Amino acid sequence: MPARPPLNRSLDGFGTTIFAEMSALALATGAINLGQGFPDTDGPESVREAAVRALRDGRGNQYPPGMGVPELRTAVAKHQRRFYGLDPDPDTQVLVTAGATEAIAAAMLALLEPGDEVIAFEPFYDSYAACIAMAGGVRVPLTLRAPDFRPDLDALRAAVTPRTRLLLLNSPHNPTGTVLTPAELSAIAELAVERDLLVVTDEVYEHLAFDGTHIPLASLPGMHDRTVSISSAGKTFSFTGWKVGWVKPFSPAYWTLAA
Amino acid sequence: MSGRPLLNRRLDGLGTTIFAEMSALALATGAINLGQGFPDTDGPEAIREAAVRALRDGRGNQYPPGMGVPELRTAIADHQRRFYGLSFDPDTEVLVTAGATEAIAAAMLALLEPGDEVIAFEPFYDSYAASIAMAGGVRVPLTLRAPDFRPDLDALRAAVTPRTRLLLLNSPHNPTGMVLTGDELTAIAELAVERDLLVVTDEVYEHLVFDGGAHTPLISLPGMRDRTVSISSAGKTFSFTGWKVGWVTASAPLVAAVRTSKQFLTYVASGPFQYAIAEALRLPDDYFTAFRDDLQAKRDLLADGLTTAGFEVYRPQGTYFITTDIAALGEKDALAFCRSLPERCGVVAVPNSVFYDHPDAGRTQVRFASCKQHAVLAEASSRLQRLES
Ligand SMILES: Cc1ncc(COP(=O)(O)O)c(C=O)c1O
Ligand SMILES: Cc1ncc(COP(=O)(O)O)c(C=O)c1O
Repeated sequence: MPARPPLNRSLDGFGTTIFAEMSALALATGAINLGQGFPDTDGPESVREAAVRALRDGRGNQYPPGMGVPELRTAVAKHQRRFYGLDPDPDTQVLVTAGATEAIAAAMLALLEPGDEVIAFEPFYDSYAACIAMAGGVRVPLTLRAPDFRPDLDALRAAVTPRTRLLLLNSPHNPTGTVLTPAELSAIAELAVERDLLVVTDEVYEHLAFDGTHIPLASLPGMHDRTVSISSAGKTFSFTGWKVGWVKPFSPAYWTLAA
Repeated sequence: MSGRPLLNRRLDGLGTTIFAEMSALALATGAINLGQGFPDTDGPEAIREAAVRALRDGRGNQYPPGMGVPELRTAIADHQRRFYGLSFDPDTEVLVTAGATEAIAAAMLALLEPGDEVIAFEPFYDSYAASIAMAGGVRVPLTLRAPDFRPDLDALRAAVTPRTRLLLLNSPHNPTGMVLTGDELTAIAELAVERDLLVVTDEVYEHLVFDGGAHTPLISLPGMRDRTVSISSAGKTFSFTGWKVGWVTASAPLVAAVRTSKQFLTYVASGPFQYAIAEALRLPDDYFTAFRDDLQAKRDLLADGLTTAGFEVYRPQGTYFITTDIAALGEKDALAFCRSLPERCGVVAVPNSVFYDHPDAGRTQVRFASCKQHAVLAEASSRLQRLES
């Protein structure tokens, strides 16, 4: 075996996630596992039966098109119109991915070059740091602080440097539950326009904003062409194991990792 | 928008694949699509129904474990023992991935650091170049040359430098159908040991070796167990390419490395299908034999049709594909030929030239997929006869 460790040293420390350790503990002790974010009840039977029909009718049993099947791309576009008044072209502005996780990884690998800085809220969803590292990027945390975990917009402005390539935002936010307000979204959008930044938004909890509503950053002035909106079906429909996600990128020149 | 292009410049030129262009052509012209490597008949009904049961029983509808469901990991380990006499610990030496594609990407991102060299056979399967580039690696092609596409082992030895980190090997090989021989595998293994290299093997066509031959995993050779990352997938073997269930078998430290990047590429995938493929891997030997015989008969049918139509046919030893040469038809450029083929006779194929760093080596090579129904291959063959005139 080569003397160098097998793992790329920029991924040091990403080996096992806390979830693996805690789930093993739950299993060993029989404790109730409130550690991992997936429901213990499957989503609607009618949706499950739609999957059964697709299997039996031979729809999707072979490689679907690289962008995703047209039926799903159209449905994603309609969903964006229905809930947010957005109007993406299903042929060029919707890309289906293996969950939001793959969309985030692909976005980082496509948009970053080594040394680019990425500003993201901490605490982070655990794939962010690793994806930024795989792309050779540098992560710049913007700490959300208890008790209310609002982003400090002055600190955000101060964190932008000439090397900042993109903001990686998550709202509704895992793990704090913060939902960005319209005023916060406007301030972020203005900053992105002023400093000419790309923004990647992780919106997987879009249908779980309590006492308020989710507003996609892409709907704000100046943001359409600089925002990559990411979401997925896992949380919204309680089928996390199916791993169907999507991206509304601004441009078809967008590299997908896997079919 | 900032002056810099949106796409990471390491990925320049990898924007859209030839398959997208050719599939669009197939759709637009109604041509028979022998460009893309997926079957036009689904795999066994019993396996499809196993997926239905998993869905309805609520197995795999929520995130499976990061390494894959235990049933599948055990089935993969048992498959490696049954076919190759290899023994892997399902808990630490088997990792389930979103197809071989994710396994390859994860292996490159985990094992490479910027500047590392990777030697791979060209023509390449198209994700290799992109995966190496995403990891900041440098690809070093070892050209397989017609008519028999054997690897030049002296050239391989000469290509190894102090910066070589790994060999990325594919046998049975897409698109040439070359299957490495026992002697070639031995020479490669000796070189890997001597120069202390890691090897990643893409074995997705492991059950498609024709004419009485057999696939031997490189990881079974002396000195290779701890330096090889062996990759395969269910897509081709069970004719469910859309399910995207793949796997890695390797030593625990290598699996741990690949899992690290894998868990952030998709985290997990294909929940209910993992259970179905666990059943598929336990199908009796008859299944595997009949599957191979069927694909061999399809190869023969299409190879004969192509020969009669005037192509030079490089009879593949395995895989879904047949590589041909069009010089005998008076053609000079595979890409132009493939762009005109749907118009000329209603068939879509892909030019091998796009799979080379040295396109001249494949300038007149065209690949046809033979993984289609007999009637479809017969119809394509008869359409191709129109070329001769
Ligand atoms: C913030 C956030 N993003 C992405 C994901 C992963 O989504 P998917 O399963 O669609 O990959 C999760 C899942 O926990 C999440 O909490
Ligand atoms: C050589 C090779 N490797 C990998 C793959 C992809 O396999 P999967 O669908 O399991 O990702 C293919 C599919 O065409 C292939 O030909």
